[in-house]
Amino acid sequence: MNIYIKKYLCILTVFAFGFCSQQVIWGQDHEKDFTDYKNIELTGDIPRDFTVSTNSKFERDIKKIEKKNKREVQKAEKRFYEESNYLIDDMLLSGKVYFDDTITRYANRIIDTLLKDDEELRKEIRVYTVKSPSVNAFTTDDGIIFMNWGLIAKAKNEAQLAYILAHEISHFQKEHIIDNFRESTKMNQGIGVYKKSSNVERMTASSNYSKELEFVADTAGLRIFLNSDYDLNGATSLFDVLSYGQAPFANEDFDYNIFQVDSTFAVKTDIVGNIQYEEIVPNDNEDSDTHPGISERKSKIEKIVGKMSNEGKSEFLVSEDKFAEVQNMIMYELPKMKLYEKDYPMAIYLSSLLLKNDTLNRYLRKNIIKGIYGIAKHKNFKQYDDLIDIYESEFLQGKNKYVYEFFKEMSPLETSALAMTMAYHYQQEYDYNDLGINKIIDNLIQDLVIIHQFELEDFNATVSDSTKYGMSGQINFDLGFVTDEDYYIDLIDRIITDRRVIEDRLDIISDGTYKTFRNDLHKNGYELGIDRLVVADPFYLKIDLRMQYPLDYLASATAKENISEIIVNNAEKLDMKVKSLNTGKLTKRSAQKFEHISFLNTWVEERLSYGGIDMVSIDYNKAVELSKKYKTSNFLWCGIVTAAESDPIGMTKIAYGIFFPPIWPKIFGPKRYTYYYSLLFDITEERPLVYDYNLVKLKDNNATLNSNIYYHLWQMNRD
Amino acid sequence: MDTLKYIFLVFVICFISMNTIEINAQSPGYQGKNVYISYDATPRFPKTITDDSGLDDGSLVDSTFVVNGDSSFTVNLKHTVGVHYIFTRNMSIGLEYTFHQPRYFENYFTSDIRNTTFKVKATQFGLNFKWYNFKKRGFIAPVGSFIEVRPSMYLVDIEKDNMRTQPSDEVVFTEVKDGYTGLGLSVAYGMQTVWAGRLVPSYKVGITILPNLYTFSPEASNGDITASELPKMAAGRSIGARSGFISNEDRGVTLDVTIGLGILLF
Repeated sequence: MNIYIKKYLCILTVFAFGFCSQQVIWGQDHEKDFTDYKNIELTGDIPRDFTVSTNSKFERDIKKIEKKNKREVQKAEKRFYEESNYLIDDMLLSGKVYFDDTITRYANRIIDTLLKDDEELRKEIRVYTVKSPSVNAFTTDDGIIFMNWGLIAKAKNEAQLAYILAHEISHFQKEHIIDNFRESTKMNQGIGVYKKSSNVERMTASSNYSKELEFVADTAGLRIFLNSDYDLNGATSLFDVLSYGQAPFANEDFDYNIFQVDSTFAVKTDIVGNIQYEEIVPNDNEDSDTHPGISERKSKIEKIVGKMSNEGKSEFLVSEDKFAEVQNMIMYELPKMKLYEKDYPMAIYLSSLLLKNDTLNRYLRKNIIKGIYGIAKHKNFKQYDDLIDIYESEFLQGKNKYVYEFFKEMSPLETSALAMTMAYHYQQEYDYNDLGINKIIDNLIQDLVIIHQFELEDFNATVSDSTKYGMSGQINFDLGFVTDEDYYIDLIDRIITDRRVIEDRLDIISDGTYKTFRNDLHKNGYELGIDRLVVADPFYLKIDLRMQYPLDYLASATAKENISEIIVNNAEKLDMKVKSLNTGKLTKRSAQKFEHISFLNTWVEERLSYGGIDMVSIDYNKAVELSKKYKTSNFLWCGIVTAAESDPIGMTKIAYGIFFPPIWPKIFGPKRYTYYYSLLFDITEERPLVYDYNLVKLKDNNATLNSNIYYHLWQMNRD
Repeated sequence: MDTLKYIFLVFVICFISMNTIEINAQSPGYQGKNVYISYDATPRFPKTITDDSGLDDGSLVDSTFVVNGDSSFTVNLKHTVGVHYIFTRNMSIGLEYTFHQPRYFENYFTSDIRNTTFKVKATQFGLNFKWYNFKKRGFIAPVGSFIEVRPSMYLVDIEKDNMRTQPSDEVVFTEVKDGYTGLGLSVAYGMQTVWAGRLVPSYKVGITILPNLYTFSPEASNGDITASELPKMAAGRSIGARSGFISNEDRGVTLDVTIGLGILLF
């Protein structure tokens, strides 16, 4: 699957991006109050691009196929429309694409300004923004432009954004996507001028062709840009922004005092003083197969605009305030995105930078606590080294290294204690009833008891000088607050009493008890007594390994639309109340439902990424809200993957077939597999209740689906 | 016979006992429907195609068959009706009744220069155990492939005409009926699914062992066949038993290719 998605995203990615300048935009005047910032949600009317089925889009697009082309090319184009519509829909419905929020509305107003004299073209272009920190934008063959939040965050002014959009519009206008695909098909299949080319020559030709299209889009986009009154420097200075795309939005010293929540905490300055960092250097993007070097592109545009007058032009035509507001919003979103990426040090760093000008901001403080908590949990479960490997394999330039190095040296116990202390301080100072923060404290107390073998008196001791716990000595701390509150004392008692149960759940028992439990479960099934649950966006994928392109996109999309009905029908036979949230059935007015699906998919993705770590989810409070709305905390993620593969016919089979005609379908048909999985979570307890699957060597007909779905629901339902 | 009945009883008790523990984890069946009735048809193909003629060249008796009417390609069906209960996600137990009355008759030209023709009517009462391979292949009863074991008791009624001197003479079954009782055991592998949430089509391939019925008596080739052995041999061969499955000479084994249709009740 990933191969195909990557392949297509390569086709789609026609404008990439660079890195940001070090200019700090945050802190500019803006209207929005960020004190208790709420993350942006999917709201408003859902556009048709999201609600029209993949099959309908495919039927619409295949009419565009030109009959005059060679049969191979026609076939490839049909395949292109099938694949692209599926993958674009997959992206649109991922929950990361925004359509009616402040950021997207602003991007559309820039398009309005650019195309004020071309109403027809304006009608064809739809701009959506993507919740992604990467600096990127791309367009599709039918006029959708996706613009990442990371790109908007890095721009210095509106004119730069306008030029990016103009560039993408020109890709659409000149049909570069399908054109590039047609050319790639000819190259891959050795058609026309590529008939006698070697593989290396074809690859080089393919790369050169893509780069040529970029130059064309740069100059064609410039013509659109020049029709507006945007500052000409926007077109050239954008390339400077792109060359710093990987860096964070600011490069400032890290203030360790944000950890100083009470008098017991102290960072030893000698350790901090030894941290060395590399200066941020621009990236010219020379290694790209599809895009020319940034400096080369910049110089070409400079040659054109250098002679032009900039009189009457402006960096901002829509609104400078709105630009600042939008950038601020994205910058407040970035730490959360980094938390989801498990880039905890960066989340802490970005939050700390914003906190300098917004010292009482709860949202930022919580992000810092969650960042430290994430590090502590991964350290407690001995998985932080894996994260360090990832961090070090990616971009690590600039002063953000202070945070990475600081936490690299911290012991698991120190990190846990720091997170607990900061969470407790937040609880006392800002919000005693924040469920997510309270749960983080409870969860870390459990780690200290179960993993670090803490007893009650250990919480009351200052352990900074102890060597018992492998301390780095970077901080001093005191967890005495735990022994001051009856709630925590009771909690520790319960944890000690349930030690075996917790160890069992965390799969950290080595004596085989857990394995026995799993075996019993597999033999007898679950007995959960659940009569109400929510099914979150069931998954369906059909694969036919006999075909050149095994993924059957259109059949998968159709099956996905219908699977909810099958689930609900089976639940009704068990008298279960099941609400199925399916992106295949969205309507214009179902933005709230879409937001819920988006959140749930993010939630489960996050949950699964933790493996065996019992992390409190990043948006725990929202999960609680959702469970209240649906009157159940039981949420089910389930899906079906079917496959068919060839099964050669030998003499033995022919002989069987002669004697036993009824088994012809079995003998002469392909091998078929249907894989059904269920993943049931209690999203408030954050605990998996069911993880079960069934692999059947049968076609995914109604009997197979009903049998599996009913059986899994029945296990959840029975007492 | 008492010993056989005793063995049969023990056999049944063992099967039930083996599966008692699984009953605690009883599966819901197909969308909660646990009971279904079934009708199975097992064709017996024309004897002209399938008959192995059985008797050696040196035999003093010969075997042929006669048909009511002219067709020697008559297809006969063995009919089975049953009621099944899905006990677990991977097992069902059923009670079955089988009826089989071949439309062709075994005819023997014996050493006393007479044609002896047998008309056979067989019935079986059996238990049906089906195992669906849940653990490895994920089949959930009653959908998927299964292995079936069916112990049964059969009753064979035989009418005899031994008055003819020519095979072409009219067959008149005038003699008093004779009968045999015995135990059988069927083993089959098949596939089953559900259509429209209610119908249960299936097919299976298997064998039935009928240890008390002969397909060929060794005495026959010596011309020493007795009056009591000939009907057993005729009965076995009439209902489709073939020699060679167990040994080259005696016990009856039938090869069954069955197509069935069931209805899920509740």
